[in-house]
Amino acid sequence: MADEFRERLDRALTVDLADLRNVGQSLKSLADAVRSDVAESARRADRALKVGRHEQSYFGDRDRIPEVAALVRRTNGAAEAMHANIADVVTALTETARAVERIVQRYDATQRARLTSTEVNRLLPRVRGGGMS
Amino acid sequence: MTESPSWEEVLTGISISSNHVQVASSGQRWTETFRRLEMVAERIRTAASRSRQGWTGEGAEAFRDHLEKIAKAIDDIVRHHRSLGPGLHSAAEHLRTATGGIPIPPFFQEEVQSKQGMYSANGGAHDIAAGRVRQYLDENYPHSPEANLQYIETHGGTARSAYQTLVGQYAGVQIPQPTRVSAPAVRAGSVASTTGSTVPKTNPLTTSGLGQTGLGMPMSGMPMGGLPMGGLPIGGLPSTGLPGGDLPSTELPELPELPELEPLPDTGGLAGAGPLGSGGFGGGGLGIGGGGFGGGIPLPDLGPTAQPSAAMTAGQALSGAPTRGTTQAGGITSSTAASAMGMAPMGMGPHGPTGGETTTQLYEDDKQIFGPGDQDLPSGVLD
Repeated sequence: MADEFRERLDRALTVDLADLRNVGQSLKSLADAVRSDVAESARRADRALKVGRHEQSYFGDRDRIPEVAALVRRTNGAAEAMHANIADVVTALTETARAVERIVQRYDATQRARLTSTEVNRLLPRVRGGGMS
Repeated sequence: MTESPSWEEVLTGISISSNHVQVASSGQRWTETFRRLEMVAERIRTAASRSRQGWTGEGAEAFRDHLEKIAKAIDDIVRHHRSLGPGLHSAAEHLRTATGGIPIPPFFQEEVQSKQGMYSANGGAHDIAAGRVRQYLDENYPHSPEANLQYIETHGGTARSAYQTLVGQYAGVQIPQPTRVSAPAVRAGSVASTTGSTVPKTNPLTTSGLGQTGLGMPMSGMPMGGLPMGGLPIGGLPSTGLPGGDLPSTELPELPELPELEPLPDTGGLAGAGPLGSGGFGGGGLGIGGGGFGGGIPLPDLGPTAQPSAAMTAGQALSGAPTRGTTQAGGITSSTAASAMGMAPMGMGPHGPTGGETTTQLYEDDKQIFGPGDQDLPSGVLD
């Protein structure tokens, strides 16, 4: 299973990345891989702890044991953050791939070589909040 | 549940309502998730590096810096949360030890197993009502009230001890604080219009909206997975320097239905259901035969059987009442049982056998049955 994922990622890069079009396509493939395999893996990991419509816990009876309830809260918090983080990665890769497509559509190779960093950054998705700038 | 729960409460709250196999499985899947994320970050960096062959210049370097930011965001996500896998594995081990040490009255074995299965299948009703053990003993072993009480105190005490150890261990399980990591995402107006755009190739600047510094807004069809700027509550870790607080729930993008993936391979320690009939302690039959499935979920083995003491069954034999419940290996005769030890030990030191061969055999059987502390006995989960 892990090897299959690795192969999927490798296939995403078996193109000539000297061609910027292919870079965009590779990023899109990576986004798809995160959206499907990684997000699904996280969902299954999260689901493995929960049972029933009311999401009882496999740690023990969370309604009767405070320590179980606390562990459930902590675990759910981390899981929710992970789901959201993974979704953000999908968005970032997808939007970057689209930005590459726009760059390719608008500028030929000679023009692209003359683009400034400011011009390119305007076309790329930006970091929100104070995070990773 | 109180700090000193009854035997029934421990059976309900832990033996029935838990599944260490599932907890371990969750930990393994999270570990795999983080490993996959690391692979994605590596491939992003590879793509950036190889793009140098075709695109150079200041703008190209800005593009590669951007890819590096995404890869680094993934690195941070993994770094902040990867302890989730080992934390869950640790919780699973504590739980496995606890459930393997909670004794089960033989007359409730079937009920406990059945309720365990029901709970694992759908989280359904699973209580063993308080006082039921005492009630059963009073009805079925009426001539040994003191032995009955001793039975409850001993085995209930063992169950309570296992429970108290477990809840203490749960408090110490390392689960990472939830942390939102900012990754480059689209902001309002920074998306090129796909209709009516007339920017010639010789004019390398903006379509409407590019360069704005407003709040990020979702693209149509692509809801943002992040949090609104300016109020990014994080569960304590200052990845963005903003104050901590409770993590609000976020709307996640709707993802398509996917085909079922193959189950992750079992590794040592996960052990799945284990073979049927294996007990929590010792060889076959000592614990409750477990390893079944509840709603397709593999069920863990339950704890050892809490056999009635010789005094209890002797009381039945003397009264002529039939012995109920599970008989011990080797059987017990009334004449020897009457002089046997009053209470079968739970892993305690040996009681001097007072009878003949049968009593000796009973003593030996008790050592096997009531030996949750016997380190030579294999765990209930088989690899």
